[in-house]
Amino acid sequence: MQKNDDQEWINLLGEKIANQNKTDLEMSTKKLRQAIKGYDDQLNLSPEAIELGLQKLKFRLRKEGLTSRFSNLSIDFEFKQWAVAASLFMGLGMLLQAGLDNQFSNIGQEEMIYRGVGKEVIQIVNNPRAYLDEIVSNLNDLSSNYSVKRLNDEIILEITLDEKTRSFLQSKRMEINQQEKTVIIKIQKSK
Amino acid sequence: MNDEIEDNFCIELVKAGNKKRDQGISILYRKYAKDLRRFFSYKCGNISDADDLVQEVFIKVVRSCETYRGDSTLKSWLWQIARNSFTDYVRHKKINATDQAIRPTSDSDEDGWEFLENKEPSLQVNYHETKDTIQDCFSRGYSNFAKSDPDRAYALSLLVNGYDSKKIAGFLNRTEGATREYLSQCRKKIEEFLLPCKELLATE
Repeated sequence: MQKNDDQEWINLLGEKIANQNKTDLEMSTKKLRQAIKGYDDQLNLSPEAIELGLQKLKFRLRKEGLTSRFSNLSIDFEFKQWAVAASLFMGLGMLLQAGLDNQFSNIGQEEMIYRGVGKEVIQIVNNPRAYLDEIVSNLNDLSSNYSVKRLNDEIILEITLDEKTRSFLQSKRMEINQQEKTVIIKIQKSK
Repeated sequence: MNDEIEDNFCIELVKAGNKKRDQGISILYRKYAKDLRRFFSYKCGNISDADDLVQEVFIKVVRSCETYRGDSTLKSWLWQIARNSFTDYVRHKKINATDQAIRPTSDSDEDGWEFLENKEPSLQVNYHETKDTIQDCFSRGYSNFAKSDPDRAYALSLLVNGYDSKKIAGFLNRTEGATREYLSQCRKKIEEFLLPCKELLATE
């Protein structure tokens, strides 16, 4: 037969009633409660411990063939699908980037960028001064007529065309109309 | 979702196999492993055996999920598996103990008693050796009580961890009235272990 005292003890231990820690019963149940809590702490019932147990269980289930390997493969497969898609996307990006890089690397190698054909040719180079010197040197060798002007950041080279000069400029990959008597080369610094 | 409905949903997932089985068993494990771990830890007196037994219960759930017809709740079924697993564990321990007792394991253990000395470390509270406080006394008292009477200590642990008498009754497989009576008996039993502590408490 349960005594009232027992019920109070149960309620105090289960914290169903407030413990004022004044009476002997209250003080001893409080100590006992702490002792039980301390003991239980050692059992490590934390969510992390439970999660670790679950991982071990899953490993064993796989090992014993109770969850088919396919179930894991399907997860892997989904992951792989995304991985392949991401790789392709990145690869494509890199190819595009490489293409642009090549284009820019041409500038670095003083390759010409044509923005106009005919009478006016715009050339964007890394070092306009060096490029001008190279062209002028060749024009001098060919005894061509030319004039050089500077307008802001642009060097404007106006050349009177004859056969030799025309051939030379075409060898420099400039498209020049056969009808033109002069050509204006605007040399700009690449940004 | 209602507990029972969720459990039934999970067992259907477990039955379905593959990825669904993985999901179902994960939900069930996260829901019940903590209580099972507490149960086995008290019963076995050590955590590593408790972990093995928890795992064993869920392996059995997977293996025998097809036999579950829903005549009882999944929770009852699972706890029945847990109790049976513990019975098997005790039986296995006894057989092993007998085996080792009759077959000496080494020259230095001619009588075969060494295994009794080298038992797995049981749950023990770390006390401050220099200063034995009243709390240390209560902790030691409870630890000894848990070793001597793991079932009752387990019931007190459930009580302290916020379970009401109805839920405790479910865990102990008793009626609610019988559980209240059982808890009263627990008090009497543990008082014997706490007697010196109460004297210390009175002199404080």
